[in-house]
Amino acid sequence: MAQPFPPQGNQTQHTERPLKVYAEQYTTGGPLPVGASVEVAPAFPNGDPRVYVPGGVAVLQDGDWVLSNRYTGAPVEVISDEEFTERFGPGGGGAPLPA
Amino acid sequence: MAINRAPWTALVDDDGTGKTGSIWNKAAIAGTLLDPIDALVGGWNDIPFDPAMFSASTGTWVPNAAAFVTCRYALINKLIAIQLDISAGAHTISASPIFLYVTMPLAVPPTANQFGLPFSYYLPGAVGTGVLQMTAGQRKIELLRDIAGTAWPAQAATGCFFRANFFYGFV
Repeated sequence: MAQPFPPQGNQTQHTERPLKVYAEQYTTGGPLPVGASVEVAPAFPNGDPRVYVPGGVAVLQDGDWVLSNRYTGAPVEVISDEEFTERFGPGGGGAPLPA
Repeated sequence: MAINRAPWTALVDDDGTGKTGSIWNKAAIAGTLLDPIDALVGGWNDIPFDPAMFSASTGTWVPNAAAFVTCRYALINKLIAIQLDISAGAHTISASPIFLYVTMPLAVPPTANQFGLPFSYYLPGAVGTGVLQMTAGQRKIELLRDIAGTAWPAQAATGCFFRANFFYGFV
């Protein structure tokens, strides 16, 4: 098994905590999640609902969740409702945003 | 590729009387021979900066004159070569459009759709090779970040780079 690569130069070791994210669920016929697009493009002549995430494009299916970075607001991941429940718990692990 | 024969076809032969037919003089030689040959061999024509050339599918795209490095075309018989270098300067993109447009003041738009031509770009927040396309009969050059239509990031007077070299036919 690979061993940790030792820090180089002035690098120091840090432990990353679980990140808070913003999440919004897509439902067919419902409002489009923040960061999603339905504009016509060459690869999407019918304007399919989709989200541009780092490294690719995720076409939205009914019930998918769009996760966005809290600091940049940019979508980072699209996951199924099943994966969302498994990762964030049945309640989504979230609290209502302040009014 | 044949030289444009339309000016030659328009000539009328003398019928032997010496009283008919096209007059052959310097002006006729220029229009019948030289102009079609010039068109065949090409030569760059610079297009002056005009902010009205630039637009976007959503919001606006406004580069300043300093960004207008190169915008020129060469007619080579029935082909047109275009060089675009819209670089540095200060670009304002008011929204996050899928398409950025450069509308060229050309007399000869493409007669067929031109899809999938590559060009290079850099903006703060985006870098890569984009997709350039033109629709038949239109003078608008459409710039996409990619074929899936990833939106361009909005810009507030920042230095951006768009560089393209391409050909299209108009017959």
